[in-house]
Amino acid sequence: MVAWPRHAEDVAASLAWAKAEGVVVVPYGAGSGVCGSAMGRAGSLVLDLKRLDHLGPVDPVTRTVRVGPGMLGQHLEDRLARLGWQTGHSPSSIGCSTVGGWAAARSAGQFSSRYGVFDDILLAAELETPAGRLRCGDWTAPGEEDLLPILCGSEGGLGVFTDTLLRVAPTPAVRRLRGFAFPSLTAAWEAMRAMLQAELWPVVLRLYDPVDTRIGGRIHPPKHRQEAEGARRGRAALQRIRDRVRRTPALQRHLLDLPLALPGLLNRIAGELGQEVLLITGFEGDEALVDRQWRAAAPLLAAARDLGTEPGERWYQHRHDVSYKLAPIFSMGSFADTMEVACPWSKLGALYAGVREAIGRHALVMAHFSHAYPEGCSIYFSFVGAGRTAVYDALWSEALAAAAAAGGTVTHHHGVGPLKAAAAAKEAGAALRVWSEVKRALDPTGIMNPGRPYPAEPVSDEPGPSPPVGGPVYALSAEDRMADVDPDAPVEAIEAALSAAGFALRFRPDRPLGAWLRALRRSSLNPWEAPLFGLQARFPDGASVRLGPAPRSAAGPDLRPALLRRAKVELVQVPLRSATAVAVTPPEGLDPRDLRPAWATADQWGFVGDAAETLAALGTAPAAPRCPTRAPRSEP
Amino acid sequence: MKPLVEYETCTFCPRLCRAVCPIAVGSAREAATPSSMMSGPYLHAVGTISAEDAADLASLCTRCGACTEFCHLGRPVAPLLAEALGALTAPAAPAPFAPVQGEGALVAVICGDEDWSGALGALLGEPVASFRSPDHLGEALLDHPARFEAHAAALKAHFSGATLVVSDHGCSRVAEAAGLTVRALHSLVPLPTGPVFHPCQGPRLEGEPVAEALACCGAAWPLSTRHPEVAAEVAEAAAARLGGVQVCSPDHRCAAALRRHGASVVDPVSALLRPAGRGGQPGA
Repeated sequence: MVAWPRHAEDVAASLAWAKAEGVVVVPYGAGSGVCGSAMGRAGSLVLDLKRLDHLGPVDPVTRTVRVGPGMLGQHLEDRLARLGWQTGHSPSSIGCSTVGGWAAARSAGQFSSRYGVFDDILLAAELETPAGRLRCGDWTAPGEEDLLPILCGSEGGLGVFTDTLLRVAPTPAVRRLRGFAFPSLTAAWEAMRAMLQAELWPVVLRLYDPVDTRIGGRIHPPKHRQEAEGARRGRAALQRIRDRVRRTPALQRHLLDLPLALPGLLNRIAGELGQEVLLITGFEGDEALVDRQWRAAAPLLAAARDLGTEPGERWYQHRHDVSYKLAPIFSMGSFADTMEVACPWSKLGALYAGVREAIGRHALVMAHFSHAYPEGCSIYFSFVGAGRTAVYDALWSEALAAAAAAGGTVTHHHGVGPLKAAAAAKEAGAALRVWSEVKRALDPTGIMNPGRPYPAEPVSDEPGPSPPVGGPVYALSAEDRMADVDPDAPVEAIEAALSAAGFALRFRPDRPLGAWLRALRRSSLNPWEAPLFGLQARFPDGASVRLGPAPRSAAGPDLRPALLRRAKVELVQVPLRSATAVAVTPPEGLDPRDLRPAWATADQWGFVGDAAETLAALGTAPAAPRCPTRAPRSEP
Repeated sequence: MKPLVEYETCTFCPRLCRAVCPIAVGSAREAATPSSMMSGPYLHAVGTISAEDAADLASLCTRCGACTEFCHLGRPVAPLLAEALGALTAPAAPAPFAPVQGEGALVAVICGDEDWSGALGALLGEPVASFRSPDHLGEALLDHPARFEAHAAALKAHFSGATLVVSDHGCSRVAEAAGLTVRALHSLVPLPTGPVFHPCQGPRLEGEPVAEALACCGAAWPLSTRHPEVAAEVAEAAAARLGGVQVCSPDHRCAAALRRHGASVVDPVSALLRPAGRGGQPGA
């Protein structure tokens, strides 16, 4: 059965009926999910939510807008653009995915380095659940627990989104992207990390591995190295062969099948094509700010050959085209798929090598690194193989295991679905207890999309970690700009220990970190600010779990806030910044949400990191830095 | 029907064109996306579904062409669906030609209940004949090129020397395809200044100008004939999005569909028969 509710009341009535009849309910947006969480099943009621597509006015002060969950992404951006606004959320599926789907699967867009993932953009939501209406995020009733973190990413397993409140940002005056050729992957991701930890907030950071760089034809050699006449003739002959193949489907099929049956050889050949890689990056916003950001970024990109604006502009113009290139592969009976994983910078090399090797045993594999943050980065693997189900299944199983073994999350923004349910449950470990508790409360008869995002009866037999020793700082990673700290220790004690290493807490809480995080309201932070990475918690029966620190994981809901309330949290992994800072009086006419200083008070803006001096020059006079403490709640 | 390859690329595509399809957006149905429509001929060609089911999918298209304009692969989706529908269905016999009523170099093609030829004659100061055509000059034959040829010849003979005045896009397409001399009624009747409504899609942001709130009426053939329930959903959604604001449409059939769902629409026929200040609200 399919129902098309127009109002929240229609959803409530549908759920009441389904509950009474014991019918499974599958919420459905636009069906673009690649992991299968919105698949209907025999006898189920599919709630197609695309008619819940209301759109409220933009509030220019709070920079928010109310949006129905059925709104198609492209429509939302088109409508907002006419009034000078955007969400900044731009997934590849923007034309065939909905706001509700973004929330349900914890989507991330191509500009997430600047605007955050959808968790960061979604400030409040209303849902219908079998237990009744639920308001969360900024709409949480006083005294009630905010369940937004566990609802976002629940993939229809708890309830149905019927209304949302989203952040918006001004349409940028300019967007300036450039391409850079780096001699190696390592050199390129070092540059990415440097730009992010300098808090420059580029709108795009997109690095192609050597195979993707070559196959995509993304870098052309400098003119002095261009081929001689013989090479030109060879290229022309190759083009004639390509044209012939294109005109002959049978030949095309064989030419694809044969090499795909030998993926190891294919990957070795691809690996010999060269090590030079392409990074596309850039900034958007007010022209003067963008100029300033580029000036600050220049020394961080010095190891690369500047390819100019063309690669960036070409990528922007054709950023959705790659999906269309898959159609001919499917029609020839082969498979093509993608897998996105993520980890902190310090594990990136191991994650890339491990997953690439696992996939490469079965298919031609290439990757790009995008969705980068100060603490880490996602890797997006694309692969093409010969069309046998057993090969495809083995590939996924081995690749997911390799991602977990390397310390990455098994999904960054594609969600979970049946494809990754077991792997996501393993990643969550004993934290699934909090999921089960909330599931029992909101969906006591289990009608909501059973088995999504976790298997129906998730069991974790993994032994949990031991309690940390030492403290208040248990571990510090300068590379990842994060530290494992005691959540109950006085903030001053943590700061003192960090200061000795040249770091400070990225956010200075006004109370111990554990209490601050428990009380935190998402809208008190800016969308680009991540207050917590991993945590370790222990339940009263001694079971323990370590979550994270993979940045912005979408392997099911964010279970950390619920764990903070329901278990003894032994360790929190929090962001750091350089201890040195530059402060200036607030520049006139600028909104701190656009320039993004590390802190902004009425009398000063503070900047940290390698670009601090350059960015601070926008201010009018030097001031002694005084980083303020942050309250966990501010009025939305 | 074109070879299979013409349809399968679309069937495997990432479906980003759904956002520009007025039927997919207005109906919110998964079966009504351009790629789902294209899957009909494909699945029939590979033996999965019947010709009737395939025609059901192909006939959800109103031929607005937005998907073709959008497609990153350059697929001519609307023409392919039209050709497939022609191949999957037998041509319906056109309604017998009624005699042309009255005299005049202009012949008003009347597809609805109201005969506006007299009012047009009064407006222009010259006699206008009328011709009743409930099947919009036999627009269903447009998908059957072989059959349409004879139909076009018959039309030409029937209207020899006359200029047809048409009030909707369907009649206009047939007249042009048949090589008849044709004028659109909206080019002869002044419409109130304001936003013009035409097949399109999209919800309206609060505060956004109505001109941007375009939405498809769902009235065009073959959708309204083969899938009246989907056409009604599309029109209902469009009317809801207009939110009670009066709009103009150059197409009488579109306007009538929207009015059935409570929208306030002025079109050339309503403007002609019920001008503002003379008999109530225009288009009411």
